[in-house]
Amino acid sequence: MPCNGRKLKKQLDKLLKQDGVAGYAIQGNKIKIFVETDDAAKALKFIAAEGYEVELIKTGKFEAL
Amino acid sequence: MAFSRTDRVSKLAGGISIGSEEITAGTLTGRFIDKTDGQIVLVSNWHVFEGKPGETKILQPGPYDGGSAPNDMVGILKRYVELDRRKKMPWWKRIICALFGWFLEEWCLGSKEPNHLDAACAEYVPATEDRSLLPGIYLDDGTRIVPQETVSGDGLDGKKVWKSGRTTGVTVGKVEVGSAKVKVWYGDRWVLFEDVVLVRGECKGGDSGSPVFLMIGDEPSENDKLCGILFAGSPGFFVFCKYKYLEDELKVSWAP
Repeated sequence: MPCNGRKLKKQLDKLLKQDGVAGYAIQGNKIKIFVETDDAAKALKFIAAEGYEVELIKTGKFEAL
Repeated sequence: MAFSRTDRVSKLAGGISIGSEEITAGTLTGRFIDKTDGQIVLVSNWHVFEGKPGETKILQPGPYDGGSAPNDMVGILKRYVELDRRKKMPWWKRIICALFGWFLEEWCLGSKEPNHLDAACAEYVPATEDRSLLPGIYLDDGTRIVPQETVSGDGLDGKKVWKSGRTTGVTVGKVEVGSAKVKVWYGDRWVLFEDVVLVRGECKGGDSGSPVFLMIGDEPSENDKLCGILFAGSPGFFVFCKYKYLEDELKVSWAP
């Protein structure tokens, strides 16, 4: 993880608390953000640090089964 | 007679209906060894074995599938990994909080430990003599296989895995993310989990507790390796906790 990795994680943790965001993962310079609905994806405002590529994945809501 | 995962089964193994008397039904992960005392124990999710340690009865099948106490009891909840545990405070902070906690309420709450695992174990105590706890897991046709090996659950990106669950049986999936942080809903509240594995694959309510295996060949087989325990999902995805946390936090190991 680049040196600004901790700051990025903080940003993503904050994002995770928003309605409609289901999770995230950082894979090298790629950030995968999981969203519960299409509307949540549209409403998402996330500007990643330079050098990162962001991919949104609609996963739905994760529920204990 | 055809095998059904939701029936009362005399030979218990992973992949069949189970649940505490307080819930509906989930899946038995399988037979494990309690590393703290060497006892053989039943393992599933905490939210499947939910209750009071030393008191709550574990039923097979789970209550939703007709299991009831005392006849269908197969165990008693032994322990679980608590969610959202608070980090231990240093001695000096404990003193300050004992004196001024009324004023420093938020600071004294401390930060939370990350959640890695939704799991619990139960002492195997069958109510009737016709039951036995066997190693391995059931496949859809009722045959039981006994994979011997385990892997930590790390480094699974892009790999093929399969699970055996009460509701959707054996389903194969592909790991989308080998280490994710996700929000999981338990009724109307959510809990954050870190370092869990996200899989593109099928699951439904009642599959919680399914053992998850790293697939070596093209079909589920005894060469496959236990890599985790399923606990959550959404249409088209399931999420599992890594096997290493069963060893490190619940202190149990797979007993083939």
